[in-house]
Amino acid sequence: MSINPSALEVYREIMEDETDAFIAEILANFYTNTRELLASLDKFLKQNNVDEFVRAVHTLRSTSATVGAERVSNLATDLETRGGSEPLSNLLPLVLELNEAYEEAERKLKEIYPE
Amino acid sequence: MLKILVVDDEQIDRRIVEKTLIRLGHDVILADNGEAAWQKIQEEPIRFVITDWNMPLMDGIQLIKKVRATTLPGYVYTILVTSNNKDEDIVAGLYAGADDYLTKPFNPTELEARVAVGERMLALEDGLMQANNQLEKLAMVDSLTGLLNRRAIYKFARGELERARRVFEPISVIFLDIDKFKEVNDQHGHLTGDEALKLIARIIKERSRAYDSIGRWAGDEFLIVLPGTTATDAEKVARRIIEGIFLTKLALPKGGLLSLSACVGVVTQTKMTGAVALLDDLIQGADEALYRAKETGGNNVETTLL
Repeated sequence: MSINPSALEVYREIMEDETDAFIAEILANFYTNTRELLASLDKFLKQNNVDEFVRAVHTLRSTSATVGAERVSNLATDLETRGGSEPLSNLLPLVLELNEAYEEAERKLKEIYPE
Repeated sequence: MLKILVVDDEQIDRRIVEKTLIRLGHDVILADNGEAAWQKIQEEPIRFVITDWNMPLMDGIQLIKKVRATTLPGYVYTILVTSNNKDEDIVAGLYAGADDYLTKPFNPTELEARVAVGERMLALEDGLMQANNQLEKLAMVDSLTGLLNRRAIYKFARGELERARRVFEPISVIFLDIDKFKEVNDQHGHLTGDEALKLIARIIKERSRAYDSIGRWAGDEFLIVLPGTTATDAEKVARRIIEGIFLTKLALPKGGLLSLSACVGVVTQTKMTGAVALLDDLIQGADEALYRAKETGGNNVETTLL
């Protein structure tokens, strides 16, 4: 399952009547920020910029887990671990898989939480 | 209700913590890196910090270490937020000075519970500080400046007044007030204000005589008792002190120098026979002279004879 819906639903208890607006805001930020982040991953790969690459996937690991995009988070975790120890050029297939996983996650999230 | 500083370079995570805390009724200040957070801690009375670990410029661990290494007005409760990364060793975080930790992604009710723990800790600390303040009142010394506290200087002044009557000697009292001290605190922060008070206390000690007694009366006011001192000599001491304050600059943490000045009211009791003034009359006389000095615009001395 690529999306864990309970990840965002946990906010319902505290946010109450503000939950839907809160989730909408978080997701809007997530979509925008993640697209930018994925574009920057390409750039860092080409530049062989290990530090920025690892920082970027570290961020994505956290934010995707927050919204319940588990497959994205798991792939980002792998990339973070391997980015620190392998040449970035080895990671291209995994980065492509990450992009696909994100597309799927965004689609599924929009089904659960229509904009 | 607390004022909580939330530090995270990631907008989504920052927003989630911010909104959750606001919903719980707290006041939230934000920073997106450790350095910005440290600036805010120095500028405002912040007692609670929730900080991410991995951030540019200054990370969460460095921020917490800086907080623990600095004497701040009160204890700062810190929660370290970790991504459960192998490089983020939570034991190291706790040893660095974090009071608690949260692992992302965290359940908001867990955040609520851990903030409540922090509130309890701060309440305990406030209780301890109050008890300490009570003890300090019973003791003699103002902990910031090292001078006699109000109670002690008052008691000393009373003793000196009695002695002056017995031996038919004059006695003078100096009341010193720092010019525009509120502005110093407002513009440069309370930590700089404290450093200014300590500096001025030192200058007063250096520029008064060994047998004069100096006390911190209140806030930015100081009382000096000058036994066996005529009005002329008391005025000389007063002018020496305010000159010393005027000439000494305080180095600011962000660079630059701060100029300070003070006003002084001097009162001298000379009538040792007949109706001799009470200490409170003496202090009131000095206060009125101080007021007149303030009216002239600052950095001045005014005297009164009783």
